[in-house]
Amino acid sequence: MIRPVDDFEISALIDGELEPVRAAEVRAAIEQNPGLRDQFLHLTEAHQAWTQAARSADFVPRAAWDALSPRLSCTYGWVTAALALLAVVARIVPKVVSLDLAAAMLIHGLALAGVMVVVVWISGRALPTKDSGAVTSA
Amino acid sequence: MGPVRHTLTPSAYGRLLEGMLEQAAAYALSILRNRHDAEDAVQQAALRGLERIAQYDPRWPFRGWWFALLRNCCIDLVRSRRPCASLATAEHHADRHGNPTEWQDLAEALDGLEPQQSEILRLKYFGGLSYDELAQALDIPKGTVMSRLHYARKALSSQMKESEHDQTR
Repeated sequence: MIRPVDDFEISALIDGELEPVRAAEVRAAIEQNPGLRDQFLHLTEAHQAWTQAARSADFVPRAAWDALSPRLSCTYGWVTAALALLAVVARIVPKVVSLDLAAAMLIHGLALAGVMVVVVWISGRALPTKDSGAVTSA
Repeated sequence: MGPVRHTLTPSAYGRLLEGMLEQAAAYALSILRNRHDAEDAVQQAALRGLERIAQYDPRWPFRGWWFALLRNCCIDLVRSRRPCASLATAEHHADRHGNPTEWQDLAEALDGLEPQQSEILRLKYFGGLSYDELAQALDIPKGTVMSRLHYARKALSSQMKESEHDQTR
């Protein structure tokens, strides 16, 4: 036996929040009951109008990312610092520990490459992005 | 040994936030009624969320959790500007200069409802929250979301009919 339809299940059906089996039962009840059908049609129409009205308020808030970006980039800042430290250590180690020329040159080369990668990365992050400061009109 | 609780990284938080900024701004705008304050509220909520990131449980709907923060930031802003009500009213009218938009009519109709009803409808329509997210944001069971939302819709519908009737008289 099908459970009677509660009023609020009509709203849930419109929102797509009912379980598939229950949604089918509620749909069947709406088809058979003119009172429920009227309520469903009225709420559907209102729901669509309100959704459209609310979406006319959407806009991209500029301020949020301006303040957040330094904090979000904190993680990357630590990674950058760790890489830079690694590069410095790699340059010092061959001088402290006696290594043959080839090994010393290899470590120096790697350290130099590391420093260059970090410099390029930092430069890239310092450049303004194409959407920075953009505000879209509602 | 208990289950391992994964936390959100700041970059993952930023990505999640990015996908809902427009609706967050719309929700704040529907309460505060001017763009500048709405941007302030979204910014404060973004920072507050980042500070409280360790308290977030990934089993919760992120949107619901974050909109609860945004809602509190909006309330704080409304309270802080209350002594300058005349200024707020002036800004409100400045924003309405020209043609009132659809969202402003909806926001004004929501103001005429009981707070519980207007709150759930704002989160639903301006914030675009699902039932699970509404339950999280309002800290109520999903069944309560279902019934409260339905009766709030009926109340809003009556409210709008009344205001249409008043305008035509």
